[in-house]
Amino acid sequence: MNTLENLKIGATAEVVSVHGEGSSLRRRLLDMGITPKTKIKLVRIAPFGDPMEFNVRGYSLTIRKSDAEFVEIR
Amino acid sequence: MSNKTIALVGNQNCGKTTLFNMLTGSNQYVGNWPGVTVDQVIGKLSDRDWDIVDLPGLYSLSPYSAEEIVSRDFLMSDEYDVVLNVVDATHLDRSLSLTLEVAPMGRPMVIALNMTDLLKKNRTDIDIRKMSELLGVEVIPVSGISGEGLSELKSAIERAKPATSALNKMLPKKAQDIISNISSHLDLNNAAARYFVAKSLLQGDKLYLKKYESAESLLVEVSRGCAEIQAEFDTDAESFFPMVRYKFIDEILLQCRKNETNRIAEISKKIDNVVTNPWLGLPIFFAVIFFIYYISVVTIGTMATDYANDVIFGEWCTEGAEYLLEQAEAPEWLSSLVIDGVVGGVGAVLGFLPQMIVLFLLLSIVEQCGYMTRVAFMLDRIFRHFGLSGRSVFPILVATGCAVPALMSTKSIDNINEQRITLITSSFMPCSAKLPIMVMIFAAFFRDQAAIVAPLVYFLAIFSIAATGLILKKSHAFNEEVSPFVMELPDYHTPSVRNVILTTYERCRAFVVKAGTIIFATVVVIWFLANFGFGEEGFGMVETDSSMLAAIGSAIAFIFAPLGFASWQASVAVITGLLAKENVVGTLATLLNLSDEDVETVGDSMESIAEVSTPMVDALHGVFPLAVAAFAYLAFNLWSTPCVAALGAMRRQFASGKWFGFAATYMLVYAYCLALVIYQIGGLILGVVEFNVFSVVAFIIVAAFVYLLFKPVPDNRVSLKIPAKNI
Repeated sequence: MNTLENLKIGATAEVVSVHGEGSSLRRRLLDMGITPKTKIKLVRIAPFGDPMEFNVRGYSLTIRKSDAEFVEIR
Repeated sequence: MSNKTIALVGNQNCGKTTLFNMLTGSNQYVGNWPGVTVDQVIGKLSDRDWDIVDLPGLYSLSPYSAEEIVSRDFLMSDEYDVVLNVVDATHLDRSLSLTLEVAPMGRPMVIALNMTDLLKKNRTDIDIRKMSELLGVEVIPVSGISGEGLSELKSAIERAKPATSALNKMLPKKAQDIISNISSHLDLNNAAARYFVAKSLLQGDKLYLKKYESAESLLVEVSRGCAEIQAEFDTDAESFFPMVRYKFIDEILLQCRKNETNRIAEISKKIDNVVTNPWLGLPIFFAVIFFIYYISVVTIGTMATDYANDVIFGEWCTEGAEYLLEQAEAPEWLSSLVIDGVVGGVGAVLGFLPQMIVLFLLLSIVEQCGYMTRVAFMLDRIFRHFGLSGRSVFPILVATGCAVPALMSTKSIDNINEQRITLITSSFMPCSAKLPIMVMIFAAFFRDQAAIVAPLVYFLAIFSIAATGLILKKSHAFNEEVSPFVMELPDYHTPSVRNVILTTYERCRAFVVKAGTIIFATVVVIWFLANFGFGEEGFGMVETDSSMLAAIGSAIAFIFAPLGFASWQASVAVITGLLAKENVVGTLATLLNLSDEDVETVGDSMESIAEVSTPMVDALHGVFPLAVAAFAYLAFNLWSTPCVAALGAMRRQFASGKWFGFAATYMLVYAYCLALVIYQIGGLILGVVEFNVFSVVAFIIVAAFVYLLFKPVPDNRVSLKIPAKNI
C-alpha cells in the first residue's frame, strides 16, 4: 500500500482512501478536503524531516509523518 | 429595530475575528462556554441592537475538540436567529465545506465573502450572484480590513432566509432517505437537530453513539444505514459525507470561479522557500528572535522601562503621594505603607510594562502575519521529542515576558497531551519578574562569573522543560486520544493594526491587573506582618525581628534547611515569591532592614549587576552563608510554581482541579528536588557542604530522575484503529 508518507517532494498523487476508521485523525483529514480522488502535492518537508507540508485544494496543510501513513495514495 | 442574536461561524484564519471587531468595535465581552475553557466572545452591534456570538474558528463540526462541540451544540440550540458565515474568498473549497455542514441547521443564513480585496491580486473572478443562487444563500462581498460591504451585510442579515435549496441538490435521494429514517427514531423536537444527529451517527460520531448506546432499535437502523451507503455508493459513511460535500463544492466553483491563479499563495510559497529552508530556516528564526529581544529588552524596551521607573514611579508618583500625604497630615505609618509599600512595590512591577508592551507588540506581529505557524512547522519534530508541539514555541517565547498570556496562548495547541505538558513547562522560562532575583543573587555571589552563571540559568530552564516533557510524556495520563497535528499554513498577510493592538492589550492587561490586586495585597499584608507583632507592651508595632512575620518565617524555615537556606527572612521571601516573584527582592530587603535606595539598585538586566549596592550585597551574604545555597535559593524561586496570577491562568486552561493540582505539586516537588541537588551535591563537589543524610537523599533523587528520564517509552500511543462504531 502506497501512502502519503512515501510521496516525493514536488510530486502529486491522488488520494485512494483515508484509513484509521473511527479516529479523530480520519475525520479531520476528510473534513479538510483530503477525500478520495483528491489531488495532493508534497510541497516540502520540515528541516528536521517531519512534519510534511502538502498542497491540497489550493491551500497548505502540514501533517506529521506518522499521520500521513494513514492516507493511501496512488 | 428587532433584537436578534447572530452566530458568527467560520474557519480559522478566515478573518472572522477581524470582521467581528469591525462590526462590534469595543462592545465585546468575553465569557466561557459552560463547562469548558473555550472563550465565548459576545459583541453588540450598537446601531441595530444585535448580539453577535463569535463561535471558535472551525474546520468542521466533528466531535473531536471542545471548540467543535460547543459550536455544534450552540448551532442546534434556539439561542440565535441568524447564522453569519464568514468565508475566505481566497480559499473557497475549504471554507464552503463548513458552510455546507452548518446550512442543514435550517436557520436563516448569510455568507460574508471575506478577503474579496485580495481577489484582484489573485486575478480571480467570482460570480457572486451565481454563487448565491447555487448555494441558496445570500452572499455579500466584504473586507474585514477596510470595512467595505458592512452595511450591505447588515441589511442582508435582516432579510436572511434558511439555505434549503442547496441541501436538496447536494445529497443523493437515497442518502436523504437513510437520514430521514434514522431521524424518525430520534426523540428530539427540533428537525434540524434530528437531521444533524442522524447524519453524525452514520459518520460514527463517538459522542452521539455514546449518548444513544442503549437505544438498540436506533443503532440497528444506523448500522443498516451505514451498510446501505456502503452498498449504494461504494464507500463507508464516514467518508461519504465529506466526499459529497467537496464534490458539490467543486461543481459550484466550476460554475462561479474564473481565472484562478492564486498569486498570494504563490508569494507565500516563495517566502516559505526561504524561511523554512532546511539550511536557512533555523538561522532566520534565531535572527528574528534575537531582533525581537534586542528591540524589546536591550533598546526601546529598556529606555521606556528606565523612564517609567525613574521618572514616572521614581519621581512623579512618589513625590505626588508624599505631597498628598503631607497635605492630609497622614500618620507616619500610613506614609510608610503608601510610599515604601505600595508605590515601591506596585511601581516596581508596573515598571516592566513598557518592556512587555514592546515584546508583546512584536510577538503579536510575528504571530499574526503567519510566521509563527511556520516556526511551529519547522520545530515540531524537536519539540515533539519532549512531549511538546511545534505550537509550544510561541507560549515559551511569551513566557519570557509574562507567564499569564503564555499560558493563555496554549489554547492553539490542538493536542491535549501536548497542551498539558506545555502548561506545566512553559512557566519554567524565567519571566521578567524573575530577572531581579537573578540580578540580586548574581551581584552578591557571582559578580565575576555572571557571564557563565547567567547562561547556566537559561540552560537549566530549557533543561527543566525538556526533562519534564520527557518524563511526563511516558506517563499513561499524558496519552489520551487526541485531535491530530493537522495545521493549516495560512498565506502571509500584513496584520491589521487594530488586531495587533487588541492582542497586545489583552496580554498586558493580565499583568497590570496582577500588579493592582495580588501584588498590592501581598505588599500590604507583608508590610503589616513585618511591622506588627506581640511586643513587651502587647500587640503593636515592633521591630521586624520580633514581628509576626519573623515568627512565621522561623516556623517554616526548617523546610528549606536541606536546601541550604534556613533563615526566616529567606523563607518568608520564598513564600511571598510563590504569590508573585516580583515580591522576592522587596520582601528580602524589607526583612533585612535595607532602604528603598538599596532595592532600587537591583535592576532587571544583567548590565545592572554592577550597580547593586554594597549594603544589599553584605546583607545577602548574611542570609546565605554559601554561594551554592544562594544558587539553590535562586533555583527554587525560578522553577517552583509561578505567581498566583499565572496559577489562575493555568487552572483555567486545565479546566480540571485534578490536573491543576498535579501540575502545581509537580512544579513544587521539582523545584525542591532541584534546589536540594544543587546545594547538596554541588556543595559536596565544591567541598563546602559535608556529607550528611540529605546528600544521600540528593543522590537517590538523581538516580530516580535519571531512571525516569531513560525509562523505555511504553507503547501506549493510542491506536488510531479503535473502532468507534460500537454497534
